[in-house]
Amino acid sequence: MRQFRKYEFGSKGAATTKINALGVDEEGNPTHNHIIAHLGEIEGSKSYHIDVLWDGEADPNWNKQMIWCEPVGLHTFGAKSAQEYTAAYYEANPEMIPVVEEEEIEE
Amino acid sequence: MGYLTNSGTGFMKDAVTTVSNVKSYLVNKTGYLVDAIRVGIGDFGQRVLDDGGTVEASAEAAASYREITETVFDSASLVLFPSGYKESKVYSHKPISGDGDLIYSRGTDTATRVNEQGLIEKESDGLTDSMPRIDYTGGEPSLLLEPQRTNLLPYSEDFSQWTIDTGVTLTSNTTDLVSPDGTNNASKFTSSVSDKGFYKGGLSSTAQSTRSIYLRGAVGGEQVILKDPSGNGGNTPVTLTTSWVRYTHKTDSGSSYQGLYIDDIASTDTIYAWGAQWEEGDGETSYIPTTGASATRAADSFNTLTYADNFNSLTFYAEVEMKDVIRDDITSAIRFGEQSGNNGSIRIFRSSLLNPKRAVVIARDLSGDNIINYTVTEDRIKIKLTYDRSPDGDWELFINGNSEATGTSTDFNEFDTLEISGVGGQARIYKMYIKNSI
Repeated sequence: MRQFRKYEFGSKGAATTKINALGVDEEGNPTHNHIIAHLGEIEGSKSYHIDVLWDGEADPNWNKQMIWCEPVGLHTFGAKSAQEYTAAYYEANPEMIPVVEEEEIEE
Repeated sequence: MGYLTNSGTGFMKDAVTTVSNVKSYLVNKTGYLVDAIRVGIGDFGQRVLDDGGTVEASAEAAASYREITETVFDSASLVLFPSGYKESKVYSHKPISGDGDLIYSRGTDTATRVNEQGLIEKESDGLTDSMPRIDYTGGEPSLLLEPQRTNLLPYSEDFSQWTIDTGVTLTSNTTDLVSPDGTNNASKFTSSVSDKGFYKGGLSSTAQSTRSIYLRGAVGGEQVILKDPSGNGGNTPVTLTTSWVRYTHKTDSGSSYQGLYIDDIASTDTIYAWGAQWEEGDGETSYIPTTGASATRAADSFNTLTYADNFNSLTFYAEVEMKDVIRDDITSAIRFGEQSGNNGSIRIFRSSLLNPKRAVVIARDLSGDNIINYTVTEDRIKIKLTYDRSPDGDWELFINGNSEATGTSTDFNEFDTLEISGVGGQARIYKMYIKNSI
């Protein structure tokens, strides 16, 4: 089961260092199967953002840089991973679970 | 019965004399098997179906067989005509044991392909995150390998989320026609003023990038321009037809870009739009649908096939197409050689070091010296390398049937590993075989 998580770094260099620590070969190509998308400096933030679709569970060494955006933020890896992210988001942020009004239920 | 009608001559005669072929034919008469018999690989289709796979492009596989000839097919260690697949697997025609099947992964369900009907197929059509893609762009099936790309436009089909210039009217999900995915979800734009259009802006990139969108006109001849909403990067004028065409607009790195603008629709003209994409990189890749957020399609990736014995005398053949989509390194799209590294291997990839960017074929010996360094001027090529280590290490490179380079090297003997991946750029594999003799 792949996990989709979002991260924020102080700079592109800091993000690159962290990414390279996951493993690269002599030509600079990744030796892992995680999928990484560089979102860069998105509007309203001076931080450098990346999304990772982990090949398995998210690396806990990245937890310090992990952020939660209301699902799914500006970027996704597709429907399946968005579903997983959304479930994880509400599990980590139960106060964000939308409240369904009684009237809406009756309707 | 077709196979009996056609069974009287040549290889066909031999092919249908086996019980298994006849039995298989009777089991499945829907088309693939007729071709399977024709190409003398009668068990292929049944093997794929028995494994829960899908058989496509059997007629093209038959043609490929005829092209490489029965003699080569029978003596080959690996034959791949893209015509059988299932989740995480592409079936090779040889070996029939399955040892030559390619294990596939992509990991994202954002990919699309052009299917046999010429329609764009999505995840909702069954193209799941680890489904290989036999793509029919141009009408001919090929195994599609692509690098990772992101469609930066958050709404690729819902143009009601775009900015529509005053005087231009949008009709979503028009029933006037079917869109490139075969449904009524295209958008219709009618203009009552001159030189207006619609755009998605507010995004940001300074990278070299490629915009693409499917457009067609109501009557044909309508003219529009594609550009960036910022005005940077110039524009690309296009004249529409009454068929869907994917038009592109490329921009270089260095300027600030914001999205995609379809502008200058003439007064009273009606045009249709579907499937917009803005991706960083040189050249468009297959369509990545988005529904509210930008979306990334991961690179196509296959396992590495390793052979127990080195091929000291071999023929390597690949018919591939490599478009002008590259990475900034020289990672191979196809590599056949020793188990690790690039020494002692033949590699086919798109080089960013050449101008214009071209596919290259490089064979490097175990010492790291380039024995072959051949720049290919065409996008689609047939590459054949023969090598005989004993006694002199003679090798010969054929491109499109012509001998282009010859030489000798006995330091070139570790052919035992085949790697195929989309990370070396967009590539299409039409056929490939490896034979343990020249």
